[in-house]
Amino acid sequence: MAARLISDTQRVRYLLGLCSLAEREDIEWNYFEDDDAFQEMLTAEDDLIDGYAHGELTSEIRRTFENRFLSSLYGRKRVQFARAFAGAVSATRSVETKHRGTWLDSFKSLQSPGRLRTATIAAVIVFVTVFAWLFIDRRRMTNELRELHAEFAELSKRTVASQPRSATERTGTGDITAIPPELPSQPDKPRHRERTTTATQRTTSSNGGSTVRGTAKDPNGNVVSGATVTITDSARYFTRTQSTNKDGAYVFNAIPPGTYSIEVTAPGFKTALASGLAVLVDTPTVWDLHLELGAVSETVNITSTAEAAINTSDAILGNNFERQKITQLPLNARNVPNLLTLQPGTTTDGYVAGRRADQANIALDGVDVVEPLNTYFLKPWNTISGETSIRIPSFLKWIRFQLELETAAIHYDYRLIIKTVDDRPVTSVDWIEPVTPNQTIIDTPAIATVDLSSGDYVLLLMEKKPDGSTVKVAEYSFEVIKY
Amino acid sequence: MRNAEALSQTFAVLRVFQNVSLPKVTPKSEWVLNQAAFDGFLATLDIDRDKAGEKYEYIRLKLLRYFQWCGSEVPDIDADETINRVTRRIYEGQDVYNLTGYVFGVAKLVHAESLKRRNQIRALDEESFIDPSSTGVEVETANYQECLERCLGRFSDEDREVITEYYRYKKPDKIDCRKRLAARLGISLNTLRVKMHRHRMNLEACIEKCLGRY
Repeated sequence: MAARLISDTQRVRYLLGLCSLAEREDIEWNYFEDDDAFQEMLTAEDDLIDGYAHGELTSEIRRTFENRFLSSLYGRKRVQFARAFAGAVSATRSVETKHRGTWLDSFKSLQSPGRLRTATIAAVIVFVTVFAWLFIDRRRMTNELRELHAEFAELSKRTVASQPRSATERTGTGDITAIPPELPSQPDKPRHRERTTTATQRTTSSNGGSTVRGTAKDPNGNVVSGATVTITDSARYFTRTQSTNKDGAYVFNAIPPGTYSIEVTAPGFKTALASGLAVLVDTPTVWDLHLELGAVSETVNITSTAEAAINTSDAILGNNFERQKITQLPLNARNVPNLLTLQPGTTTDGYVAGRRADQANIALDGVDVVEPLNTYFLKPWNTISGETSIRIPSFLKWIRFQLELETAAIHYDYRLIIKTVDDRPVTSVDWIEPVTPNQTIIDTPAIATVDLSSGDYVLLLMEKKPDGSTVKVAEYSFEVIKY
Repeated sequence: MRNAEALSQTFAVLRVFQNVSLPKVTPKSEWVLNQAAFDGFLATLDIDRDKAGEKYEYIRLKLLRYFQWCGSEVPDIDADETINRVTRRIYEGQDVYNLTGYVFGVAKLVHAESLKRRNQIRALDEESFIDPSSTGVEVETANYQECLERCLGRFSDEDREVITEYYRYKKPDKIDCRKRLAARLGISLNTLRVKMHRHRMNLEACIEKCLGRY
């Protein structure tokens, strides 16, 4: 009898005992004669048993299977194995799913015909969404880039304009505590400089300077181009000159605050001289110049009335305190920095425009003066920056302690404990040790911000050991003086 | 307690087998298989004794499955009886030109005799007959799982991964996934199926051996 091809359906029918006698003999002869056919019978049996174990059989076939297979020891063993094996494979799969990224498996599962269409639609939706988002984001970024270019150009102009400033032109000593309560009132003497202090947000481009801009016009209101504009602060011997452009405009960027005079000369016009122009920190001043016809040798004196109450030029937040306010406002102990809290948007705790106190900055004549005031560096087995007293403005309640450690000591957590000299605990700060520096000194050290009033304190630096115990590694005594 | 139950169930199954078949299986003659006859049978299978041994195992497997698929209650005994008869015929000088066909023919006779014997037993002792299907064979699940995991652990990582991949999916994805797996391994689907069946047989045999230790 020649061997012939047997279909899977016939094999299943044979295994379930549903074949006719002739068909049965045909199949049996086939797998006895042909080893491949026998292997196919074996795998067909595996699949049938797996189908039963997975509940994939129809109810009728299931009943037949149970009558056929579960009536024999052999069949029951194989079913038991199939169930256990399916559970084991399923468990292995779930473990793999947890441990591996399953994007590949997900992709594979999508390749089945039933899911292909859904996957294609989903992919198209995702693609369109991403494309739209990219398009919108690109436009947004283009606009931002344009604005950045404009800002960069403005900054470049400011930088170029500020370069002629020599060191001798700079004002201020950088020490706010040195401000005398009574400032001299003779602006014509160089040593009597008018100081201004300002509280600004760090995030703005504030540099403590200001801007004077305007347009030169003839009596008919037409712009005068090519006019020479000279701005002078005689108190500082500060002078800068430029010509008006084709629109008759001039701009003096990054000039120090002070009282200025402006002189404008142009052929066919009388020289215009304006004086007493108050230039305030971070408050751009706009001053349009009106020239009269006549000889250049003639001079027209103009008295300044310009006052820019609202900054309409840029987004910098800032305010200044002039000598007059400092000297005339009632001020406890003549604490000048306390005046800063009178500015709009500034709280008595040093919060500026909603930002935390440690994000605000105080500049004296454009120079940062906060950092040296209230940040102290702790080094184990050392002193607090070599200081025994800490002087801070009273409105700045917080003091920052910054931990500097050597690499060998970074493997522990540290705790900062501050007590009064009579051993009353004030505060305790835990430093978490997340840094893994590759330098000798940690460049991103732990920082603790504490609120201390005036008084004498003892600072303990505790090292937390892996077993949870703490060991004192440093002790500092210091005095806080708030003024 | 659970072990004792499983053990008693196993004994019950053994008693059933003894009652049903062992006393009734009698050879046609008083002939007993001897070494010379068995060597003759192996020589008929192949000149190389090792290959002959492999072929013997394969023929026995076919017989075993044949009797199992036919519903024999004692497939291994029927298979051995078939081989005994064929061996005797060859030993007695019977010319066998198509051994496989001859074995198949003898197996059909043995199966027919087995069916007849079973029917006679049921007719004679209807009340004392115990349906094997009514006896449990499930050994303690914990032992079974432990053995399964232990035996799966004996496969190489690569084989285990292929086994998991092969048996991972259910219908309707099963066929496509197996085709992809075969393509990935660079073998035909049929070869893959045979390979997986062999792994499965090894696994089942390993579990049987493992369970025997409990």
